[in-house]
Amino acid sequence: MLDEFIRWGGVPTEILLLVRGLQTKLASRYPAFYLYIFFVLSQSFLRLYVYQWKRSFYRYTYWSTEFVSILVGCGVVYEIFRVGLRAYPGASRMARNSLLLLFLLALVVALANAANDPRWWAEASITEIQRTLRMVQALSLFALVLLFLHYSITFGRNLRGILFGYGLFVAGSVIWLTFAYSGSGRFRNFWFYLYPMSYDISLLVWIVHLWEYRPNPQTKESAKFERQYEIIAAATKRRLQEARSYLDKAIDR
Amino acid sequence: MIGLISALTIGLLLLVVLVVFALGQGSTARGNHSISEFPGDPRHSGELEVCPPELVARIFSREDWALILQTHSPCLERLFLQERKRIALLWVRQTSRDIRQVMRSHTEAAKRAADIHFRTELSLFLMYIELLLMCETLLLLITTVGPPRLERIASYVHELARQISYAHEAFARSSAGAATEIPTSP
Repeated sequence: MLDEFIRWGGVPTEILLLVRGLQTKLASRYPAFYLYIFFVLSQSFLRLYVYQWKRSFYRYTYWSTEFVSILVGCGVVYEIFRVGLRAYPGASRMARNSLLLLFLLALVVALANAANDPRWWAEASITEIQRTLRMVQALSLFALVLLFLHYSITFGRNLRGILFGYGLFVAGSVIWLTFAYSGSGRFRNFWFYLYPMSYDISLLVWIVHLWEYRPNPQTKESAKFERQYEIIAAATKRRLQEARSYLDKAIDR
Repeated sequence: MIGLISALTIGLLLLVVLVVFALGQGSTARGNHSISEFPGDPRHSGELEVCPPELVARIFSREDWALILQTHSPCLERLFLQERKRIALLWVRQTSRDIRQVMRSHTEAAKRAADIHFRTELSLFLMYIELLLMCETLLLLITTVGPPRLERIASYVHELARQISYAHEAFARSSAGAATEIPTSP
């Protein structure tokens, strides 16, 4: 009973989220996120159908839709980056370069590991490949959040909810897939319940944060900043020059 | 293929930064306004309020310590070390706070600058982290070893702080140059 509730409890929440998204026009502001929710909802029904009527295809359907959902989820990450940094071209460029560097690094590590163990590609289980993809997603989110923290990027309630909910889900997935891949039976049973539950928690976060439209605060601040940027830059320059003269004297003592 | 420990670490790290981010955003929403809202406020302007260099030179100087040692008074030695330690700790904390302030001010300007340089930003960030670590190390060493034995490290921190100031100044100059090139409507 609890198992069924955890597994199917998300469906009404997803429907509610989509309905509210259309009512508040948030769906047009965050299309990738709502597409993701729509996809997850559709995949639930597809899986149910296959499970009921074509059970032999269930395993294939389950993992195929999981992979597609990861790809659609990448769109959510991109949307967080795009909307969150729209008003900050400098931070946006930093994020682009950091992510590029991260992907290159991940590619190099993957190729190096594959070269060391050529059988991996042939022997890797679906769970393992999925975990690797989720890890790349988790790393991207990790780098993005660090960047948001470093540049003190302020998010609106809606985007904050999308990031927090999706981040929780991705982190939960990485941990779950690690245990599913390597854990013993007891751990697997534990995580079998916890994984869908982590998604339900994310859904609750989304419902709370996306119930109504709240604008991102940086739009107003950015207009205010542009008018005063030169004053700030000039003041900072003058004060740093004063400080530098102090420091120069301290070093040259 | 990829280690289980690294997978778990990434998952847990993501959870931690998300919580830190959510807490930070929550406090901003409750009223801790961002720097850009108070551009004229000196606390947010990146002012580096360093101690006068003469004072810094004296804090870590061995000369005074050598002079005190000549008195052969344990009580005076203890008092001297206590006082120096107190002043040195204060100086390091102030330096650390000022460095954070400069960096905060820099990121506020940099995040909106379209002509940002990735390598400069990265090197600045690494330098910033190095400085903060140095300050933390200094705090630890001052507490355990005492200021008179730390002259060289203090000089190194100064040098790094100066490099950050130089780099930030160059950035501010190039940003200001770019801003003046933009034609304004009458």
